[in-house]
Amino acid sequence: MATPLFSQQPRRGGAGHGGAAGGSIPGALIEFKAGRLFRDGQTNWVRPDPRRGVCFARKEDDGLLRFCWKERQASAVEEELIVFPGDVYLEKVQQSGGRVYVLKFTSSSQRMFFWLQEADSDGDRNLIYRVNTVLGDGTSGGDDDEEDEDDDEDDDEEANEERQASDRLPPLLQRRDSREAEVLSRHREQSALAHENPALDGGVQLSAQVGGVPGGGMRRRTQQRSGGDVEPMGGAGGRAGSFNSSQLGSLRQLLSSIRVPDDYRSAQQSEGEGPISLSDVLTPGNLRAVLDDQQLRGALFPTLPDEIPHTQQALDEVIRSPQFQQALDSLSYVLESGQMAPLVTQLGLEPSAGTSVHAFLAAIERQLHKEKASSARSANDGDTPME
Amino acid sequence: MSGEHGNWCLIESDPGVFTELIHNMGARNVQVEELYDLDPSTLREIEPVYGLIFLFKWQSGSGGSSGEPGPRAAEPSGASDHVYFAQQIIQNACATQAILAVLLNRSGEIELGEMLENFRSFSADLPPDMRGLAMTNSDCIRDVHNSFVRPESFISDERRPATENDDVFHFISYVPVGGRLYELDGLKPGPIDHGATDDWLETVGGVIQKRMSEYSQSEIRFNLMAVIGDRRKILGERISVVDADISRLTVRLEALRLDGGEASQAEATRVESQIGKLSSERTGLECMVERENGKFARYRFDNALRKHNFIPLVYQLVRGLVEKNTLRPAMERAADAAKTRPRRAPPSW
Repeated sequence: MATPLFSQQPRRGGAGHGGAAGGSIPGALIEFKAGRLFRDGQTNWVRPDPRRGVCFARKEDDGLLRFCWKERQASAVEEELIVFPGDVYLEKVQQSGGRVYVLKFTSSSQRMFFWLQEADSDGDRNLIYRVNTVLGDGTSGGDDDEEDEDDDEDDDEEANEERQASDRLPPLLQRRDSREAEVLSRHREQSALAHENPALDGGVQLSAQVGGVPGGGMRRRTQQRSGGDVEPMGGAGGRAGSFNSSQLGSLRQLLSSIRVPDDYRSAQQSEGEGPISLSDVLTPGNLRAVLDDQQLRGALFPTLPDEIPHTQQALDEVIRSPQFQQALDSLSYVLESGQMAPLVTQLGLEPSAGTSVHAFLAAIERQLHKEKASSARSANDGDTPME
Repeated sequence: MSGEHGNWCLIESDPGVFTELIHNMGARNVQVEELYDLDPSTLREIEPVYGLIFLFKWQSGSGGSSGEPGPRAAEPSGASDHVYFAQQIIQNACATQAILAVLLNRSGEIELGEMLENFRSFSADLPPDMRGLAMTNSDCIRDVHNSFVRPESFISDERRPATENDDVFHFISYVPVGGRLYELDGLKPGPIDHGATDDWLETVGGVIQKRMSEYSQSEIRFNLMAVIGDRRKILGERISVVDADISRLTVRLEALRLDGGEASQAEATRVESQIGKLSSERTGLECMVERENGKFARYRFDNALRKHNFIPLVYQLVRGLVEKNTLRPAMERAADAAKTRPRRAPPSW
């Protein structure tokens, strides 16, 4: 289920300034009608909350500026962030054709997403300008100045290509009225319902120890993802190399909304590299040396179901089982379909690893080499990049 | 894709899967056995047989047949009112539906458990289509069914609505109710009465043969499974009987030996050979129990793999190949293999 990104916003002190706007909220410096969008679990995906809402900023008695959201008819405020003037600003998400805006923090990579529900979209730019004035944004041109390079202030590394990927919002956000959002939201509920079962949440833990997402090697992504139902956004999620069960659970939901573009095959065919199948790579013969290696076996056992004994013989059986073969076939298919990018980031791989079997394998190889290089670096304090 | 009924994953028609499904629905002392022939003697060996489940898998379009054999119309009649029949509402629920068609008609002999008892009493008064709907909408039944969702299959389920080229399953259950053999086909309006039978195990083979012949020649795969009593429990009971006989005869033997008379000695020899026979019977029964144990261990293993998410294993295996410096050669061989064979169709299940 989608969860708010900012439920525990760190408190910041400071005094606000800015213009006022008339409205229904007492004491509000500015208010505007907007709904929220939530990041889906730990993924890079956002889902619209279909409810009619209102955003407003006001200063409380303690002198601190609050940025709030509530349902329009309700009195209870659902989100209340203490914001530090100059630290936050609202920016249009350029990749969306719709009226989607992101509240960004200059001091962190946290974001909060809104879709405007004001009747007249013509006033959006002016509105955002006024909001940003209230929030203490010093820029004078509203959002437009920053559209091309919007991630400068991110604290983490942003490979050029990755940003291109993250700068694309779901086509589902291109709708302009709440009815559409409601439909979409219903669809989301159904698919979540359909996938609420524990099979995937088997407590599987990957033991990858990876820090960041390596840059580079991202050439294949964009043309393959064009037909997707939903696109990932935001660069902040999925950095961890570990892969826990709740992440798997949200990945399941994530993937449930993925549709394979009909034209993926032709896109594939135009690639120079022909597709390969995981079942041709992970053959019992190819894996012999791995399975015979006691140390490597140790890393494999935790990935087996609990019911399977941790013996080499059982491992051999698993590798030869029809279930494993089917899994390889379907994984190959999904990888080649280019829809695995959000999932592979959970393995600490760059999103491009999800564009083909070849890219997936190469990314794991690169990742391991990087790990070795960095541990070698930390050992002898050298500086020898692997790529 | 199934809208308001929620998603039902496709279930392999496998005895291990069906056995676990039944167990997880709460029914006890029941297991499912795959049959490879229709010989009555085969069925006798695994008595009690509660019902048979017959699964067809055919390519729609290849034979121009919708799978409906056509000639025989269903005969919904007042006489069949005592038969629990539910119409099939959605495709993927068929495994569970087939199981329930047998279990709910043999509730007198089978320990259904709370979930199924509740469902039976709730749906008993509903017409067949509403029973199918109730089954499809039952959260707890669906949860059991969907415990067999494959971690990757959710991708394909959502991704690819069934097309004409997909394999389509159909099931028929055969159950004796009140001395008559019924064919329960969820696509028919009611149960099909195959008449009175003293011994349905004798007659069901012929009925299934006839039904098979009604399908077109393009029908290539079918699967026959029997819902039977818990083998290990039954074998255990037989072992107890044999043990009781052996200990009774052993007491007798000792008495005869103490007696010392000639007639007694002759009798003792006979008793001794009888004990020997019983002992070897016992050994045979124990072997069968062992076979069952092995089978259930296999089920556990296979079912665990069926539900398993293999992505972490794949990931670690690839890392292993990298460690061994064999990934690149393996990829090259895979590329060669891919060239020499036509592009594979996406997996379907």
